[in-house]
Amino acid sequence: MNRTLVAARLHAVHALIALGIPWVVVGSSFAINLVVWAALPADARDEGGTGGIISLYVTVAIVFLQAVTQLFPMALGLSLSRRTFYLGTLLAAAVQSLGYGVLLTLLTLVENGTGGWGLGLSFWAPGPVDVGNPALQVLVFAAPMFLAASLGVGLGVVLKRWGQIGMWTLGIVLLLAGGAAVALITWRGGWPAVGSFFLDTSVVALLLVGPAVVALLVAGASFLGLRRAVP
Amino acid sequence: MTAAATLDDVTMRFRGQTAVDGVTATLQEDCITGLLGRNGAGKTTLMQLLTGHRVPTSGRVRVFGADPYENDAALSRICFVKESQRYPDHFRVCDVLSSAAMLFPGWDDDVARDLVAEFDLPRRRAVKKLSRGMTSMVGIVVGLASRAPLTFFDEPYLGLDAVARQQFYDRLIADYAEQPRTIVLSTHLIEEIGDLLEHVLLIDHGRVLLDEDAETLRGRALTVSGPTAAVAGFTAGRRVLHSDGIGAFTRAVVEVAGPADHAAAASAGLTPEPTSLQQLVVAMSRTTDTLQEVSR
Repeated sequence: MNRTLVAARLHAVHALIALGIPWVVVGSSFAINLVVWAALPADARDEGGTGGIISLYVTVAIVFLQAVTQLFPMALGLSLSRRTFYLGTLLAAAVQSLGYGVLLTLLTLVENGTGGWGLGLSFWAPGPVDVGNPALQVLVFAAPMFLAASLGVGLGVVLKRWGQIGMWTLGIVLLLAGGAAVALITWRGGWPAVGSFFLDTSVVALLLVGPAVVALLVAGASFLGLRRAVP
Repeated sequence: MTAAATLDDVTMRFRGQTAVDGVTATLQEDCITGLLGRNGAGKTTLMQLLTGHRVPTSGRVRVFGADPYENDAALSRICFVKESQRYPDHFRVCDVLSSAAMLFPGWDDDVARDLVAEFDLPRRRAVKKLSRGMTSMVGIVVGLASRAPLTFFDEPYLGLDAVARQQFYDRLIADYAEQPRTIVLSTHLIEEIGDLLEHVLLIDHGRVLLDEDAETLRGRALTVSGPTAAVAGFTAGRRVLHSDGIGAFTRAVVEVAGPADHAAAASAGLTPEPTSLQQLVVAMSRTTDTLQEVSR
């Protein structure tokens, strides 16, 4: 257990960079949105908010991809087992997701309390993401964050174990699968059903339960790939 | 002596290539072993197998009596310093050292601090921005300060100047005297480390060529030179590892049984010289090349 905690701590070594980068990215996005909102006439501002917060999730995914391509070789060089490194990585991802979820919830509360920073900007919890219940809000932020981290880890494992060829293969397979799904739905005339599924399903199911389930599946598959990866 | 690690008929095959071919060997506890061989001989693969970084195609690897693969108890007693070690881009020298300090139970911070000062390493600079030689120094600091009961150094000093290499040897010997442990040193600079080694494991094309203690080895081969006919007379009935001829003059590396052979060479009108470890390794590796060419 001790070594698992150390493995998790490795993700926060030189924390200013390791944990700071995603916030610098989303902070820049936020600043740009503020400037744009201030420049727009009040009636032209989109009440639904912006998707700028996505940049935080994408950056977290990249950080965890690099955790596999860069930190994993060093961790094994320092005599951690793959399993311990991996458990530590999941622990780091879970703690970060919850921590970031709390931070995002606080920002959302401030945003709502200040009438969208005085500009009617809904940046941190745009549209339906704002569930109005702080405890639930933390989880609604955290579950997709954990998914982003596990997708990053998954891509990192593919890259580390199978290299460029693995990434291309995965990309082509996903493209073909997506194309086949679109073709199937179009052929069966299923688009209205797809649309109503997303409208009818609750935000909690879409942003909390769904991502959590997918994240666990991806995390399991990643470990199988990592077991024989050479640092 | 007890074994720190054993390899039992270990084979490692990659696609179309056999890197390690039926190796059976033992690493003695509290001993400095030189793992020698040419490029591509299988040295790194062997160390990857002993540190659980790879799983053998067949055979059995044991470190402190257990399989090292995914075994934290065994792994925490191993340190593997390699030339190709990758560090995260944002890690500074101090980050690598603090991470290592958390993971090696026997970590000695004084040793690390001394070495960083001796090598003049910038603690707060990113490892990525260090020169090749300084990156090697980081590995050496980790390897020595880890005080792991089984420490592997795989070409630890790429890019290091002669002074820094000597510092490494001196520290290694001093630290080893203070706290004996099992050290495996893989290198091409055989001449430099010849006197450090207590045991030699020479591999070539994935097979063990030599597995002997260094003392025996030093007396095992003799270099004789003189007129070709006289050399031929002396080498008849003895195993010639290597020979070079220039005109009527020949120089040969011959396997010998003991001091009596030195006298025999001298009385045959030849000049006998001791064969250095490096010469012996070169001679033996060339011999297998010739054999393989013949068998092709």
